[in-house]
Amino acid sequence: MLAACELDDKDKEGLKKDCSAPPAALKSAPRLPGNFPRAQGIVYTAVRKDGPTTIASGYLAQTIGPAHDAYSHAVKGAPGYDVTKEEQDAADAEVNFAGGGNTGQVKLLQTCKARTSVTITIRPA
Amino acid sequence: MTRVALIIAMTLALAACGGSGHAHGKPLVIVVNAPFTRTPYLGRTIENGVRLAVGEVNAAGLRVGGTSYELRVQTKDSALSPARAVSNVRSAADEHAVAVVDEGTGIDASWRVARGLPICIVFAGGARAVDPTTRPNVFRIAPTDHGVAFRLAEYLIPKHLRIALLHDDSDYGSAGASALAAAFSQNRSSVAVDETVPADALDLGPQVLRARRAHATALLVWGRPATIASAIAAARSSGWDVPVFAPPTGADPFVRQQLADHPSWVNGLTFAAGRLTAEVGPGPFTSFEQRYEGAYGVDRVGVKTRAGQEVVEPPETAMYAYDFVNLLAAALLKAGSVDPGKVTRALEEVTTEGANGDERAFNRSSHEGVVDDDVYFARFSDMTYAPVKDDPLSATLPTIDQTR
Amino acid sequence: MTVVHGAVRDARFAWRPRTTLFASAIVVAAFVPLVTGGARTADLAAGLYLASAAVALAFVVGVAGLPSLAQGAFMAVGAVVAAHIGSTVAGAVAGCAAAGLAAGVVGAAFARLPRAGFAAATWIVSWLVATALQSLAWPLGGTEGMVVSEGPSLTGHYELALALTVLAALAYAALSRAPFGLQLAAARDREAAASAFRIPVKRLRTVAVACSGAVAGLAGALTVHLAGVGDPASFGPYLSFKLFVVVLIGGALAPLGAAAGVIVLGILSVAADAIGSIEHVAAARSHTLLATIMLLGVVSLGWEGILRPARARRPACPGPEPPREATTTVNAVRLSKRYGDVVAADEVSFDVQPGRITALVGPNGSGKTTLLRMLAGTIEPDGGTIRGERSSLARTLQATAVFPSLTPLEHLLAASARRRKHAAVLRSLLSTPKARREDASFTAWAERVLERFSLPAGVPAGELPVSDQRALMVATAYATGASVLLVDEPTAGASRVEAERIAGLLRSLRDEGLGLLVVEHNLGIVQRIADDVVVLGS
Repeated sequence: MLAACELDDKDKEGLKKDCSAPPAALKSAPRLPGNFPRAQGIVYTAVRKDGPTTIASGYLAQTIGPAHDAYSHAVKGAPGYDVTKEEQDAADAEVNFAGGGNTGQVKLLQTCKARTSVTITIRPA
Repeated sequence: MTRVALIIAMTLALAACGGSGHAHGKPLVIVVNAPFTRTPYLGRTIENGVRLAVGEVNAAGLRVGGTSYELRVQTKDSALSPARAVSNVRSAADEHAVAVVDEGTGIDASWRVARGLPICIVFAGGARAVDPTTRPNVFRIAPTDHGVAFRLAEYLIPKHLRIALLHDDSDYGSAGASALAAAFSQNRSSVAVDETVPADALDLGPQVLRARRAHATALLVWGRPATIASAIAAARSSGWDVPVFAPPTGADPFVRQQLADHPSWVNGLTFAAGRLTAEVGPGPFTSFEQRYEGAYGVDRVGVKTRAGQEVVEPPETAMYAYDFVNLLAAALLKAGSVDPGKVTRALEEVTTEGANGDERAFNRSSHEGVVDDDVYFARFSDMTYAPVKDDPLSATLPTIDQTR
Repeated sequence: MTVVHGAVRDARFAWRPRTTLFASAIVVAAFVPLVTGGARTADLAAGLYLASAAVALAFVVGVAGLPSLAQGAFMAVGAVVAAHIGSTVAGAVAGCAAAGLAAGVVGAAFARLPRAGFAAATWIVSWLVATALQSLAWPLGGTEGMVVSEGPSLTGHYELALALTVLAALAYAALSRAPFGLQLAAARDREAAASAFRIPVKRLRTVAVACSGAVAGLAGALTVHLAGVGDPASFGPYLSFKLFVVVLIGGALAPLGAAAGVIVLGILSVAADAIGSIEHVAAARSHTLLATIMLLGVVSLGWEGILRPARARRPACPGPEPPREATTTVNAVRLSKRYGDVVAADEVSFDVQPGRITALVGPNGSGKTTLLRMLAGTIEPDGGTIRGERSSLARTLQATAVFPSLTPLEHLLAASARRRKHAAVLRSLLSTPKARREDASFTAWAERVLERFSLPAGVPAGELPVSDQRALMVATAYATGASVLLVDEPTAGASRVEAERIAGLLRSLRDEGLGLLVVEHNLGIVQRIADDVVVLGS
């Protein structure tokens, strides 16, 4: 793996701090366009449409490494889906994908000791 | 995807300037195929980006398969002509170039005659241009039209604007029109009018008037810089003060040069482009910019701020060309050969740190070096631009200094 | 085998040292791809396709005298059609046909314009086509261009282009010496005189432009397959300009002149690249600059081209005398003509009978030439009628109006084209055995006529003395096969000896059974030759 970027102090502190109460989850798990795969443990908190694009937010109760792995495996394992690019740094990661007639990105950001926020952007291909 | 830690990355961190390396070795030519006569700024920045990287690679030394090589740069003018572009690529293949850095004109035909030579597009964003399955030798490091169009749609539609889409009939404008049609297909109610304008038209008054009469509350102009400048001039000169949005060509110095007599007309012009800085911060890009300016001087826009400061253009396209050359060097080392087929395959297996600190890599599934989500928005004020604050990505980005 | 034997014999007859040189060059050229790389082969193939279009243009410019600036547009038509048809062969055929049709329309529309007007009109056509290609997406993808399947290999394209150029040059040579070409050349030299000798100028020019355009369309269709992309920018007005320049540089009157011009332009392009790189001028601009400077030089220095035309010998083989049209009497009944307030002719009546010479005499301005023009059909009378078969009339002009670049032999061959059975464009193009035999027969006949008129066969008419030129005018009118000749002041400016010579010729034609109407001021000659005299008042 390429050498990770240097974290600034604020980021380092953020990774160590205890997590506050998680945001409220959606009552039911949304069905995302293209039958976008769910990673094990994902909790969705919001879904919105910005024009043609669906943006789903949520979190995983994991650190960045396992969270990234969870989505990487989920996308790679989903029929018709490909990971087009992925990258992981100390506190954030991206998994870019194509599949289900869409393209997009899963952006992961570790916000505290054991929680990583997830933002899934899905656009028509 | 196999990642390889490369000496080139360390060299990038150590290299102080891009000066001409005096490495001795067999020549390996990189051809720059760009419209030097028709869009000189674009051609020049692509060439300079390539040369900067070539200088650094040569300074570090390039030894492939036990043989020392020296990278050299050859420029060929495509003059925005697909036929010329095809001829240039054919010549490059004939002359055993190691790669082509291409502006993108004529790529639909030129990739075939490249005989497997890797071609990297660093400007044109058309959807069909890159496909790892059918065009295994074509790569791109530039924002795609799809990415720019959809990001524009995501940004503009929630604002509940009635958008007048104007695109010119150039290669670039036509490709952009297709992308915009797809991006706005689910939200046609957001489109007040969709007009094609001649690329060489000096006066877009009639088209802008039609947009105004269609009760548009925003203009999205996708075309060459001249078209964007003409559209702004037509709108502002008639007193129509709607916001104007544009693709990356909105940042082309030509737009500001054309509107230099009315600097206030440029204020508020918002364009979409690939991010110049990465999550690591502006440091790597600033370093790259300093090395670029040290080698080639600043890219003066030709206008000044109200305070009288000279405005310069950050080397975005040069950055893409620079990044490809470094990927190429890594691929040569990985392949251990200068054979085009092997180098092309190796390009899918290497990763380098880009000029802005971002990772650059291709893989078997994707030959795109800039993901759609790395498109941000910037707005002009006093002849310089800054990332907007009402977009999640853009709001996190720093403003690059554009005055000297 | 007899056919082949005849063809070989004729080819050997026409063979020249220059022919050996060209043939050798072509054979050597065929092997060039063995030593050049792909890109260079592609460039050479593209240059040869250009050369084939230029050779075709040279026929229109040189032989027909029409400065066409639309050849690039015809290439574009061929390219557009071929780009939409997947198969190279089908695309080439369709492109050729479409371009030929388009060129035919252009030729028909503008064939009668003076040269400057023709040049301007065809230049506008070039711009129209270029603008359409850039503005509309469907022909060639607009500014994006259109991907086209490549077809043959690069070497295949090269050999095809070389063959096309050679065939175009052979077609040029065949047509320029055929009646079709001779008539076009006559019209080029003096259109009015050509019309007077019943040469269908407009039709011939339309056919010439159409054939030239068809070759251009074929070249355009193949070029687009070679490039692999249809690019509107490649078929702009500059292409027509460049084709015109290479024709002028290489020589419009030699079959391979245009090809030589393409070679020169190619060599100078290399020089332009070198100069451009020194002066930091981009290649695209330095090439345009160079081509423009060359054209200025060509035009201002009166340059006739690198390759000058060479007259091929014509085999002559005695054959049957070509049939003359049936004798006819022409009756002019109360003919009148007014030009505003001026009465040029006022109810003039007379007959021209077979085997008789009718002289028309009167002071200047009495309407003699006007009457001849009405009889010939050049102008319509305002009153009266003309009875008799008008198509069997031929007229000489009042002024000494020969075709300066044509020899007397060529004059007669051009004028007698209507009397041939095997001289259609296609037969001439293919040099069929019947066409060649008929040509040899007519050549022998024409040489006999020239002997009778005491005229040399092989000297350009512009170099003949005036008396010979006036005799040549009568001989040319005679060669048309018309049974009634309208002869306008045949002895004007002639010495007594020369006038007697002309008088003798006219009498011999009368004795042969032709009817002659002779306008004359020389009353002595009128007395000696005229059977009937019509006197016009002022």
